[in-house]
Amino acid sequence: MRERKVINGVKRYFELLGIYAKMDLASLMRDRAFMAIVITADIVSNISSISGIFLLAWKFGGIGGMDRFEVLFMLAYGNIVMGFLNMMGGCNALFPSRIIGRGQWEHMFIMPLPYAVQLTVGIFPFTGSSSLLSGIGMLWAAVHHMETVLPWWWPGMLLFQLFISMVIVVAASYLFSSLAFYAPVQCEEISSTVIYSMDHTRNFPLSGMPLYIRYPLLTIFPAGLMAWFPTMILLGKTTTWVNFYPAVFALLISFVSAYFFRKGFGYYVKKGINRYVSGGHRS
Amino acid sequence: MFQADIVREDAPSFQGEGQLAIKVDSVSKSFTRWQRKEDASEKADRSGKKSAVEEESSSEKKALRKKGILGKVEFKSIFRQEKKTLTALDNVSFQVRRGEFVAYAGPNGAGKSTTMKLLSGMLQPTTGAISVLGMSPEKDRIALMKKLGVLFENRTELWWDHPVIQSFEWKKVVWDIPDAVYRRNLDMVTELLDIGEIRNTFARELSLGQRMRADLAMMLLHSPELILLDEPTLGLDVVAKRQMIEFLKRINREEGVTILVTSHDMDDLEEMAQRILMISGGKLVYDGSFDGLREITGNLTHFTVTTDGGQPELEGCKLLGGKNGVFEFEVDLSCCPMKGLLKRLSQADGIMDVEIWKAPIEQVIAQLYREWR
Repeated sequence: MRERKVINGVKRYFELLGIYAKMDLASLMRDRAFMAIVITADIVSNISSISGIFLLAWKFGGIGGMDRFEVLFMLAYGNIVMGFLNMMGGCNALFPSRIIGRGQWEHMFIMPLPYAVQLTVGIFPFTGSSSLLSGIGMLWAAVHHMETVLPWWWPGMLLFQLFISMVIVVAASYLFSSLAFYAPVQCEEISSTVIYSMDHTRNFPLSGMPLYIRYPLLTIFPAGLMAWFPTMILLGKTTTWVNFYPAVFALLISFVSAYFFRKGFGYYVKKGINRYVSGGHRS
Repeated sequence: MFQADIVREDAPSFQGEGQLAIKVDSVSKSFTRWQRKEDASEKADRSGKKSAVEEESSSEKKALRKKGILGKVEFKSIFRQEKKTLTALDNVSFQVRRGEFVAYAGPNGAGKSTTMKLLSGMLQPTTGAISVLGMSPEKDRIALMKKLGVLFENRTELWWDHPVIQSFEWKKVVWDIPDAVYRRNLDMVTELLDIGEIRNTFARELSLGQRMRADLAMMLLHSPELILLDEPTLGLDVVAKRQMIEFLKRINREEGVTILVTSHDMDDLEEMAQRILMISGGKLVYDGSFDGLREITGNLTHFTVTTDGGQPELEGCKLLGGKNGVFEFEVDLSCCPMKGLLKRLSQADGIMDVEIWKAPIEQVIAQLYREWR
């Protein structure tokens, strides 16, 4: 009975993913030439955003103890993290402060689905995957050129680290988005500001940086956990016990984020209404 | 006193909980909000009175404004803001039986939309309890939403950049509507709401009337047992409005769907609903029939008298206007009974024709709103 329920639940989840994927494909097929231009422009933009760091690494034969292809690996890793999240968070699930600030949570109230499901099924696999695709391409090129021999379990470790990095980004976004429950207009873009700031900072290799720069970027502003630190783990440049740090941090920030988001949500349904909340809603 | 009495007299009482679609029990909802603090002169300006001291300070301010020291907005008011508690709903209780068509009316800011949001689980009450279809909107949200349909005038559930039918298919998956039910309902709404031609049109290309029809159609695809409609006829042209009203009446009558509807158009509400709940200042002030509402305001009746030219003198009747021998009067039948009115009309000179009708409900409501201010 319980097994049946789980199977039905999984089946239903994929059905939901399917309808969003179908709608995304319909958008893509509506004007193929236009969408091809948009996706190509997106890929070019993604590659050019990291090209500055890579060209510096190329020119100087590496940065801070990382050779040029290790730097490329790090940049690709970050692109995969953000690319996957952008693809999954097409309906602003990655930026919940926008949903709150724009009063769109009211649409979610009337859907007979748990909020967690609503936030994770709105995927854009066809029109929103350019960053992910460019990241995978760059990762393949970096691994191909690196001289390191990778053990058999390495792909599993890569997927695990990618998952941990994504959890950290999402948790940070939800943590700051909690503020939007109290001040919807002022905080509408707080999640995108936080995430894009982390996204810009994650491109810099932190190897060789002084500790007073490195530590804050691994704790209070965890941009270093989006690409650099996992890269060091995956390339075998860290000690064993430190390898668990991203997972522990992800767990911790997830709990803190869940606590504050629930608290904010409680405030929103108890005290909030678009006309009366201080700052109101944009729409 | 006046308001409480009205509710007590007409409020229907129901025996079994099972036959209730909505039960609102002593619900209050309050909010806090920031607003600029009024100074004494502003208060006086508003009330139209000024003390001698305020007059003096007002003249000083005028002088300062002339010198450009003070702008139109007082600088100090920026630093004098206060947080105010606002009661949107104040101890409101009412019940709606399954299968009823109930109108929910009140002046702007009375608490109508707040009630709708509380019923649909978008807000939680500060105090009191709400039960919708026997469920708590807060605790049983998912189960309730499978049986509830919500349509707000300023919101659309349609996907903007997709054809209408795509939104319908999306709803089928999200609401997990069985194939047979979906097909039956799709055929029904397509026919009754005449949306065959717009099913394949993009939502953003629809006119307001078409969009409302498409939204209404989408809302009905999962066979809701209760529908909450907030201003469904707002902005619709005459044809679209007629179509909407006829459709709502039909699904209420034939499918037994319970409907709670808000609107500022009282004539529409009277045509659709059997019962009206009126709210003012967050309090429920009337619960009963439309005719009962007329009686409260004195059973106003209008009549037109056609004469050979002269204006008839009718005691107890108020002349509303007259032109080319046609005169319109208003009479309160609770003070001047129909028998007496007919007698007076028969005794008046030069009367050629008489037409009598009830005062428009709009006028009755307007009179009530004025009294509540």
